[in-house]
Amino acid sequence: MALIVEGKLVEDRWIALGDEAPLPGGDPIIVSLARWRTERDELVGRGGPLGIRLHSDESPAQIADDLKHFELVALEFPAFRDGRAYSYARLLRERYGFGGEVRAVGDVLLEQLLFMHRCGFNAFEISSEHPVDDWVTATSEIGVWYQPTGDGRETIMAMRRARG
Amino acid sequence: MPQAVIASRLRDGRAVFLDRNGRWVEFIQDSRIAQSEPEGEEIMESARRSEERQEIVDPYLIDVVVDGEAVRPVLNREIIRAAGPTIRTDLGRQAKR
Amino acid sequence: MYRYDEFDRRLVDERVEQFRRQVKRRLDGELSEDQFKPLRLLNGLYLQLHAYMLRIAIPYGCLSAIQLRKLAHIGRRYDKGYGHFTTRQNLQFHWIKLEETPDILAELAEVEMHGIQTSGNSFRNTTTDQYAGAAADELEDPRSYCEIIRQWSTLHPEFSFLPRKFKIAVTTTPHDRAAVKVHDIGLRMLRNEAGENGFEVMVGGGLGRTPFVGKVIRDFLPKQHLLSYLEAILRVYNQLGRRDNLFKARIKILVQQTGTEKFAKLVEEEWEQIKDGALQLPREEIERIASYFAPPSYEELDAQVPEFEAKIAENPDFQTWVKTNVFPHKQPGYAIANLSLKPVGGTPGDMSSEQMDAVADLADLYSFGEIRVSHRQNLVLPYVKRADLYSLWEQLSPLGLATPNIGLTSDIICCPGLDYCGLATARSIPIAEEISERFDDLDRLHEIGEVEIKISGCINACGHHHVGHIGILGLDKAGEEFYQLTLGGAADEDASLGKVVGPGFSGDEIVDAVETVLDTYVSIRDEGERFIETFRRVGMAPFKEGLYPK
Ligand code: SF4
Repeated sequence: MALIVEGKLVEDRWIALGDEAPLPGGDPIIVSLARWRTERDELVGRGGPLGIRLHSDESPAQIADDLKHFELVALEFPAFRDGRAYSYARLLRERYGFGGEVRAVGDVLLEQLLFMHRCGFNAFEISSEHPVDDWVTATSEIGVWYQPTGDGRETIMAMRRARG
Repeated sequence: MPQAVIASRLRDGRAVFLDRNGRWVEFIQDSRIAQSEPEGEEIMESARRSEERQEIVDPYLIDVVVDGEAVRPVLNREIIRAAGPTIRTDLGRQAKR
Repeated sequence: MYRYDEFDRRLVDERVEQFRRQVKRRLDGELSEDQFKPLRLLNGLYLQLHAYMLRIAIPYGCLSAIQLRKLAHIGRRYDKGYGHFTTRQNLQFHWIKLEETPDILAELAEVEMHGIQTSGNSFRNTTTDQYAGAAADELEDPRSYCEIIRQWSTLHPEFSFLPRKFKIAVTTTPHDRAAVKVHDIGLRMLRNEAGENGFEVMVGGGLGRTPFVGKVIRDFLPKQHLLSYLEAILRVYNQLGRRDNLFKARIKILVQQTGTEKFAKLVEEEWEQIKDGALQLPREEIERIASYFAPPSYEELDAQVPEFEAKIAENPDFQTWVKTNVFPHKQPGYAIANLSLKPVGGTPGDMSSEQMDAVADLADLYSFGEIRVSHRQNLVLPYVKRADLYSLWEQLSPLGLATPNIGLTSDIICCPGLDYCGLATARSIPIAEEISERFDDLDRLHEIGEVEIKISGCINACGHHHVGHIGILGLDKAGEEFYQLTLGGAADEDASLGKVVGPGFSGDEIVDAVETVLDTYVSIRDEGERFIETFRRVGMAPFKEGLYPK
């Protein structure tokens, strides 16, 4: 598994913490929504960087008011066909103004990276032998878009207007 | 009941049958007929290997009736796959023989 | 017609190259079928009983002569010389080779066509009235809105992996020819008291395993909010639609399980948040798109065309054709001509490459180079001078495209069924052919009058059988084809779902059963009453008695 963040291959500094695992000191950890709910005070009090992982049936609306505590939200794709997290990512960015890392985890296909990126994901766990090359290919194959999203890419409508 | 293996050829999607030499052929008459369950498993095994070599897609066993030279699938669906559309007898395998 | 600009073109060209690489990786063995299947489906490529099938999008059923000629060429060069028009106003080829699809898509791109989103769990081709731009009763040309929706729904980053496929239809006339009530979203244009046009929004209609008529969730949507409202509906559906069960994944199930009112509330809440955002449609944008659909350069003509009237008087065959196949036009001196793809004994919706070429030429001659595809699987020349109708008819006849049966018994909607389709449980085309042969007598056809027969080869209902006045569903019973008969369905503004009459019929019996139903109708109808009206008045009983005598 390779991790691409902002288009670069990086070492994953985050620990995916099981629900039963003891809390480590100040290391960056990613916890489940369930653990966040039951151990909220300990997790906040711990002081180290905190991330949360949401299943595809857990909307970020449920943590909208807590987002200030998180540096990372991992959204799960249990199967590539399950497209709920595309909406979740847009909500995180465009509605709740989340500025941290939004990471795609699970069944993440190369062909989907561009869609994900457009929806606000900026980190991707992919299985690939040439992750950077694959990232570049996947995000450059299609270069024009009709839909305005929060990613700031210029839409076709805007390009038309600019062209006059 | 005797059986044959049917599949879709990767390059063009045509319905094809596995023959005695492990090749894919267009006419069901030329296919290898398995007379027993173990033999059916054997030809399916060979078909799966071919699928792994990405030569064909979705192989499966079909029941057939053998009558001298003629081989005829039992199910309507496979009869149509073997022969061609019933409303266009100028098309498909039925048009060639 | 809409024409691509450099941006539309770039998107389609990039898409072709992307698919070319994917096909190469598949043929080289780098991609397995499991990995490749979703990619090919995103480009409309299916694997069916005999070969690959390529479905080509015809946006809201609008074709230019140039495009139709290209389709003719593709049929000849890469297929077996014919194609099949579908109930989504698309065209599919049944004998395609995988290794040739990149070239086919590249050829299509030359004429601004593609197979993008003609399958898969995302937006499908938005459909509308086949008479758009020509019908006398339309409030506005629906094609502008379809085009706006087409752009918004093409490769939508958020909604390309919905729980299930998604179909939108638009109508702008009081009489609905686009079946909007049996779509995931149906949009019907209305005028409010202030004299502004907007849309009534219906959701959750659909056919298939569990058919529903759509429910109104908003009485009036101002036009500038069209896209934000659609986005709100889709966002609710994308998050809450069921993903655990393929058969319950369509939006109709979500609407039914949530309740229409609550669903509407969820949509309105979402919409509140985004309605004033980037998706608002400025008036200039609506006008810019509408300018593509400006009326053709009509001649100023008299509504009365004496030479046309004279031909009608002297030629009864022409008269019959005009009566069924010609529809009134909003422009004086013009008419809408329907070309029947339902010849006696032929496959509904099939057309040969020769016919396509010929119709392209006729469209250039008589209809400003434009052709329409109807969801009832016929073609339309939308802008024909009444004075030209006779020559048009004379040329259509030898092509087999002048069968005077639009709207009549033999104008059957029919899916490909088991002759082609991998999902089918029974054949559908032979039944359609046999019905058309049984009712080949024109006097009898006209005597029976308007009736819609719709046939599907399995529960997926691509042949719309639930909303046929007479619906036929082909099933499999212990290896034998048998057919379930439904009566009383309708797809128009009075949409209703047909009800099963009783035990099914064998392949040998089903056409007799249809005949019995029609004979019963003729014997009990009131003066001037259409089949569906009689059915609604008398109900199932008399038909049952005829079909299952004690
Ligand atoms: S209704 Fe069934 S048989 Fe007919 S085209 Fe659709 S899936 Fe195939």
